[in-house]
Amino acid sequence: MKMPDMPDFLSVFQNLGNKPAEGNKRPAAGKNLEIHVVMMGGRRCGKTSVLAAMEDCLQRTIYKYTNITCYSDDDMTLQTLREKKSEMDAYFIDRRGRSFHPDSTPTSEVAQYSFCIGLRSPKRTKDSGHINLIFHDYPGEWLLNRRDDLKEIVEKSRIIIIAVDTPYMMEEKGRYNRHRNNCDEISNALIQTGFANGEPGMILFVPIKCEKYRNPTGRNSKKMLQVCNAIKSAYAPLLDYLTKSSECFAAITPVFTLGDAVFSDFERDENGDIIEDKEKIPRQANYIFTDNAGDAPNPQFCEQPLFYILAYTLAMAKRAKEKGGLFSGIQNAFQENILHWPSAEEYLGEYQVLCEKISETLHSDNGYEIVSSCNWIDLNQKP
Amino acid sequence: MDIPQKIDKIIAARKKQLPKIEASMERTAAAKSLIERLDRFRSASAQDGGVGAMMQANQEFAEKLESISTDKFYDKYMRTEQLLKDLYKRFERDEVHISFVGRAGQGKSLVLQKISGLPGSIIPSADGSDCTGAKSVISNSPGAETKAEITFYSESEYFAIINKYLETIFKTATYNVFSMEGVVSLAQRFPELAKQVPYTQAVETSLLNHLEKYVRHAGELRELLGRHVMVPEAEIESYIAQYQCGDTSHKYFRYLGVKEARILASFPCAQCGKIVLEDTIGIGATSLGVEDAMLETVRQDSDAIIYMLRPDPCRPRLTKDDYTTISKISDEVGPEYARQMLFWLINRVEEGKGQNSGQIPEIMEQLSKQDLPVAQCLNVNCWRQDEVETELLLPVLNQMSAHLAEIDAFLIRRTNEQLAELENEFKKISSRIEGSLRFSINRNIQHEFEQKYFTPTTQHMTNEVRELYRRYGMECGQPCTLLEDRAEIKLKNTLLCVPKTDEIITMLNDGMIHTFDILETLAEKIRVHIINDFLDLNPTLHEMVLEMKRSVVHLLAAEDIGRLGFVVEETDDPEQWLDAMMERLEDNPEFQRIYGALKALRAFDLRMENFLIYKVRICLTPLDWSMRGEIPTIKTIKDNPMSPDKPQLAEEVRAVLKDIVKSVHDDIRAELESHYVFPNEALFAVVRDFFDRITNAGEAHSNMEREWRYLYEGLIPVMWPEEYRSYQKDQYAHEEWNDFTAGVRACAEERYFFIK
Repeated sequence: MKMPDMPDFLSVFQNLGNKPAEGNKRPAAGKNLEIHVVMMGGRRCGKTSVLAAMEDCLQRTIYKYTNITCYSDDDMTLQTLREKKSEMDAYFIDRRGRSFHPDSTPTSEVAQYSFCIGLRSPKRTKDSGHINLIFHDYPGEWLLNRRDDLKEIVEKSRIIIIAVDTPYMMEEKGRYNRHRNNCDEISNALIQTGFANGEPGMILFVPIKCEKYRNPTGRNSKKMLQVCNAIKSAYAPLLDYLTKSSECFAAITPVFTLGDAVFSDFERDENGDIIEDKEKIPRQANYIFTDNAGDAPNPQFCEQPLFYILAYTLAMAKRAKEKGGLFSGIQNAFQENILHWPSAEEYLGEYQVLCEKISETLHSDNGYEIVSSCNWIDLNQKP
Repeated sequence: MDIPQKIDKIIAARKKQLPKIEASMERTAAAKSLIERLDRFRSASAQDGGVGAMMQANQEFAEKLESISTDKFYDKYMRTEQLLKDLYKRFERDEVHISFVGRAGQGKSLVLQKISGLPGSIIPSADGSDCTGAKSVISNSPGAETKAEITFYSESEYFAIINKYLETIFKTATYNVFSMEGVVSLAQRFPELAKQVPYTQAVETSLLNHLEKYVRHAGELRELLGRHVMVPEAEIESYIAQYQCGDTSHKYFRYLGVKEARILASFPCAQCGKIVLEDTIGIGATSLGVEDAMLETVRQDSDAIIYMLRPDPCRPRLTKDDYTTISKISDEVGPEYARQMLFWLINRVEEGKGQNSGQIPEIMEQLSKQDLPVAQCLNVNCWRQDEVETELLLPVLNQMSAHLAEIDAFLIRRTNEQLAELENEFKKISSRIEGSLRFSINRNIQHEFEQKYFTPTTQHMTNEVRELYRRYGMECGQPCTLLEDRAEIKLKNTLLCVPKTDEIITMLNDGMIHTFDILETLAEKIRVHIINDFLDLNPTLHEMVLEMKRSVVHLLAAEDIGRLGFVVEETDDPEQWLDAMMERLEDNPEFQRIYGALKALRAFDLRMENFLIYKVRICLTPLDWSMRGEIPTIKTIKDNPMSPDKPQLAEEVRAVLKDIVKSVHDDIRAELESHYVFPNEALFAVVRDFFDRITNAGEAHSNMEREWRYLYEGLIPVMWPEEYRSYQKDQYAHEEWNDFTAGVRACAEERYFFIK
């Protein structure tokens, strides 16, 4: 994992989308394409866990249905994700009782995780292009005290993943949501940057830790629908802004990083009142293992965000191919890169497969919902 | 405290009740005199003036009064008056009384001798024969010389005794006498009269013998009748016995004229205290009225009653007559009284004539197997002074000193029950009188008052009620914050109702719960706890209802609004006011709509059982595996079913239950949120309904106007007394009527007659 200084970090984005020099011919084989994804969300809400679980799911999903490959050759990325995976495994392996509470120590450093997206093809050579997917994780405080730095990052990214700590949004009538998930700050940051205003972009709302709402024990069986509605309500200003921009695709795509452990309740004192920290949010969230919990987590649907990202990427490529000519920004990059790869057609062929796999889960009752659709991507909500 | 001191305390406590009993007697007498006054009104004519003239001038008014029945009241009054007199007489006494009753020859007088220490010459007793002539009352007077206070019948009482014999024997009053000359004349004709009674009529023949004594000796007794004399010990026998002790040939007759002989003597037992022994004539003695006299003594003059039986050695069994007498005594004083103060004394004769000691155990066993209305069955050799003292006197005194106070309280309660019945009858009459008030008032006055007072009052009152329902209407649709706040507490309680880990371990160790059904058992406890806790919201709901009713009642009762507080005083309890008001209107068909409106208002209440608790119960389904069919797996038990680690088990069970209870909590909260509006909606609806009922009752508006007018018309003297007086022309009649109705109203207050 790279830990660049700020100027180097920014230059990565500055190079993205530059027009080719006048008179330059397009190279016969494009350089690797870099897609930058910014992970946004409250402190310690589980952003890194999403990546770790996503990587863990890849074996069983992407490889099963597509010819796309995804791996990380970055040692730091691998180490960090393995550590995170071990942390999640430890909840199950080392469990002594029926309940536990996850560590709530927040990350204090900027982190960057790299994945290589390629194709599994006999025609593949060392010159076959691949996509570098770079996830940028930043400390939650940046939303409050380093907004300008965050703004620069966002302006250069095309994909935003907003992680939502679901129990804090759903429990106690959502009174802890704003403080925990920083909804207002995220909405403001994205609106101020003019995200996807004129340029195609994608925002994925990723509610995590929502196992409880998928299999409720109470009378209300449509809790995941309520999760969707709660997200739409919490990020209403952002969604209103996005509907005015026809180029931004936004969807809600829950992930279940643990699978067999569900949120139970916040820790309470003897009077039944929730114990809060100095920031007036619950100090400790308690989780409980389900009846059939084994010795390891059982993550599910964690590949979904990556499916969306890849679908976005290939949708851009398809669009660039269809329109031809000189383009600005991202389309130019695609022109330079993916369309000049020997495997370009094969990449575009995987686009339809990805869209189909995504569409299979698109039910509001399941918590999957397109909240802002666009004509540049073939994804539609199931009725 | 010894027995005499306890008896003194009882007597002192009784004396304190006397003013209260007296006050009750005065109040009931006042009520009776009011009813008698009503009867006089009804029998008066126009010439008599006053209310009679009012009735003549106003036929409707007259009809209303004529239709009031007073018979039941008088009937109840007689019974009540007797009860109060008996009670007063009992509590007035300076001693406690022990009465000895039973058939002739059972040993009553013998027992009295042993207790009082008096010889046979004063308390005559003979072996199994009937020797007592007059009723004797023996008072313990420690240290005093023995003497007797003799009270003779008056002449008229003596004649009444003779006449009762004559009427019983000859079945006619033809031969009755009313003067001494008449008695002398009767004596002369006696042989002739005696022939009219055939010898086959044994009872009449026996009564004839007694009658002859009264007639033949009337002349001798003439000087004594109506008198009250004190006699020394040596002369007592000649006044109360039929013959001299030890010489049956020497007969006495003065007993015939003795109404009562009160003997004062110093009893040998130091524990006696202020007691009086009441001797009675043996039941079965052939003189007339013996049983009635015994029952009267039992009722009026007895604190404890001792029924004596000396079993016949030849026929040692309890007879039907014994059980009949016990039943009659129990009926006379009441079974509750008899079970504390009635004693059955079996006179055991150890030697000589009448020896029955061998048969006594069987009789005692027979008595012990039966549920008799007696305090104790006593087996005593009445010839032995020490045994009479230890086996009879002291047990009776102990029982009396321990229980007389509660018996006295019971008697007061019983009297108050009778007074309640009298009150009920009086209230029926008073409500009819109230109902006639309207007709007693001059039509012109009614018209004046309608214009000036009724209409503005009813309009003002109904306007205020309208304003009230509008205020409730503004809150309609809003959640009831009081209920919401209280329910929040209950919701929080649900999260706290899961037992702590150490509590679960303790329950496992104590065997209160078992491993194999630990989840079900704890879930059941939690379900019940939650339901009971939410039912605890009922007082909150009820208080809201009371507050609403209080507001409505105030509008009806306030002096500056509905003014009905002049009829029933407004208190803090609106339901009590509504009940009292409804009671006044219930039997009057003219006010049925108003009555209906009050009744509907009174009946309304909000309870959790009506709307919320079932919602809460359904939300408990996650805690009810009989409905879910799938109990959560407890890993600790699964891993080691035979002997799971208890602390680990407790922790796991607690975690599972906490999780489920949290879900239940969330469901209950969601369910309740839609119901918090219900109380405000219901309260609005009730007040609105009340307004509709008092303004039009679903019919023509004029019907309700008329009903209110009738109500206020009848209450003019009550609600506008000063204004009314100024309108009255015929002052006397109306003053008399006003005074009468004011008296009736005063006596119709709740519990007015009670001893309190």
